[in-house]
Amino acid sequence: MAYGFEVYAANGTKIIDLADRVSRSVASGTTPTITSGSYYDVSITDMTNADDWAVFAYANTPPNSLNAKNVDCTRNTGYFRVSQSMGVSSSFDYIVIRTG
Amino acid sequence: MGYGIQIYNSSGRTVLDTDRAESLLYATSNNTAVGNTDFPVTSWSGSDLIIARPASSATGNQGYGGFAKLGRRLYDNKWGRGLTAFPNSNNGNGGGYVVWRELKAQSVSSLTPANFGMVVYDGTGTASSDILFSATDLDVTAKVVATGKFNGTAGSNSAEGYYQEFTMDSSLDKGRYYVLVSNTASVYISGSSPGTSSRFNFNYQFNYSAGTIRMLNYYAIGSTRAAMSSSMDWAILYVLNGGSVDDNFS
Repeated sequence: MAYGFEVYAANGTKIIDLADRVSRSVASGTTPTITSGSYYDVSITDMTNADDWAVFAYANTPPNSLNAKNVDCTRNTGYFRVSQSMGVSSSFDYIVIRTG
Repeated sequence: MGYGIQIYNSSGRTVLDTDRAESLLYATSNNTAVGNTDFPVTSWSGSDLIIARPASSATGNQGYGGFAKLGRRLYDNKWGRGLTAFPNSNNGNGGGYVVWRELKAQSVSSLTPANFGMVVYDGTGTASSDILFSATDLDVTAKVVATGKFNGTAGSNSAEGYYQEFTMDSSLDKGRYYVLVSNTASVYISGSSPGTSSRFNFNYQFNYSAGTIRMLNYYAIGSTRAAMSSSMDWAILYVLNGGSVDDNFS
């Protein structure tokens, strides 16, 4: 092969190929409690809004109502922001992965 | 960089870079669950990434087009799309239950690498928490095949709602496509009668006949569907070397 690398499991199955988008864990944690109408920024070195980053965040105490949809998580240069207007306060668990 | 290793894939994306403290994610524990059970099991932690798929391509007679809808019932950490869990044993969509796997970073898995194969550390030491990559511990991997946000505009104010659509590669095993469900959300809307038309959806819908996965983003009250746009991320993954866990797909 001219570039990249390939990894095979012990049974001979190729588990990483030359073209694969390999996902890596960058950070995980829990935000402080965020009150409704507010946001919290988490600093992540090198983060951009490009598609090789992904942030998965979820409320720990969402309401049992349509207001539960009022959560946003936006990636920016050097940080991501969790904002919410669910009508209740909640912390958020998050994990950041990178595929590029 | 002065030392270490950098590996790129054929499209220039980084696979491994010792200048970054980024440990590879791999697929670890797995299990099955029926709808309306804890997500995915009791004591689930939000720091664990959970990927899932319907257990089979069987379709039932409930839900839009008999598709298998899959996600996290938000308010109580159970599988489902609203007040009534889904898929479940009543409607048969997706075989009536889901197969889930946990994705974990190798650095937090207390690995003891074998004395052969390639191991890459982050440069701070050789403890298990310093591992960026350990080849012999990568039995089952899950490669990312698509990512995006729950903001699709396809669809309409009809039963199907609003979505983005991903088409599975027909040359691959459809049973190895998983979706990341940890941050999906659906909830029964208080005050509405239970049913498919009284909840909101940030979740996934599998259609094995068409070979598609839809990322849904709408809420429904009665017969009205309204698109929602969210900056929350979604991801679709393809599991390799899953063994008997994935060999039951038909």
